[in-house]
Amino acid sequence: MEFASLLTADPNTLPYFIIDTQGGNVVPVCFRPLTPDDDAELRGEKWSAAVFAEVWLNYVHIPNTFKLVCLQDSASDIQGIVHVGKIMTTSRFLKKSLLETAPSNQRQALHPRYSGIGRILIARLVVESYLRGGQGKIMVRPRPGTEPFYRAIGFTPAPRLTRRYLLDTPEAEVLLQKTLLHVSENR
Amino acid sequence: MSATENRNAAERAYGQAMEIIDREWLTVGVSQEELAHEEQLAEIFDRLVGSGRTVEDIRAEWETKTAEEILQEYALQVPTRQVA
Repeated sequence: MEFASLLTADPNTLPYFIIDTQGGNVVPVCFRPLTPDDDAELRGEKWSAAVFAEVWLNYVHIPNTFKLVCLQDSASDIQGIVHVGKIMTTSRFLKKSLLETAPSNQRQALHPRYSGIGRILIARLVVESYLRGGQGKIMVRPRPGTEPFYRAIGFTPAPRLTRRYLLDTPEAEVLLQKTLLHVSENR
Repeated sequence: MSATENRNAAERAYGQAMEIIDREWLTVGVSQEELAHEEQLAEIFDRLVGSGRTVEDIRAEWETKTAEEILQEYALQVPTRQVA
C-alpha cells in the first residue's frame, strides 16, 4: 500500500494492527463508530475503571467517535476509543480530540493483553487530520505521566506550553509510515 | 441530533474530559493560574500559526519570555470588535 492511498481510503478500513503481548503476534484491528449500543460495555467491568468512563458515555451519541476492535474477536470487545476533534480554522491543527486505551491494556495493567493501541488511536487522528485539510498536524493535551508516550511517537511540547504536545507534518508522515505501511508490508 | 446540537454535545463532553485532566495536573502540583495561562497561550499560539508563523519561529520568540510577558504583549494586539 502506498502512502498516498492511505489518505484516500476509508479510514475505518485501513490496515491497523496491534500486538498480542502473549505471543508477540500481530493482530488486525478496525475502527467502528461508538454508538448507544456500546453503553453496556462502557458501564461494564472492563471500561468502568477508565479515566474517561463517564465521558465516553456521553460520546456514544456524538459523531466521529470510534471504538477499536479486533477483527478476530467479538465486536463488542472495545480495545480503545478515540473521538476525532476539529481542525482549527487558523492553525489547521487537529485539536479537541480525546482517546483512551482500555484499562486492561494500559501499561500499568497487571497483564495487558495487547500493546500498541495508543499508537493506532493516534494514527487514526493523523489520517483524519490529513482528510480534513490539517496535513497530519495534531495538538493534544496529555494527562500527567503520559508525555513519554507522545514523545516516543514524534510529538514535541508546544512553545511555552509544556502541557500541550504537537505532531507536525513530517513526524505525522513518519508515524503513518511506521504504523500502517511498515507492519502491513511485513505481514 | 442536528449538526449544531452535535457540536455543542461534543464541546460539553470535551470540556468534561479537560476538567478531569485539569484535576490530575492540579494533583501533581501545577497551579490553577498556570493552567489558565496555558489556555490563553494556546489561543495565541493558534492565532500566530494561522497568520503564517512557524512553530519554530514562535518557539524562538517565546523562549526567553515568561508566560506573563507573552500574554501582556499579545493581549495588546487583540483586535477590538468593530461596532456597526
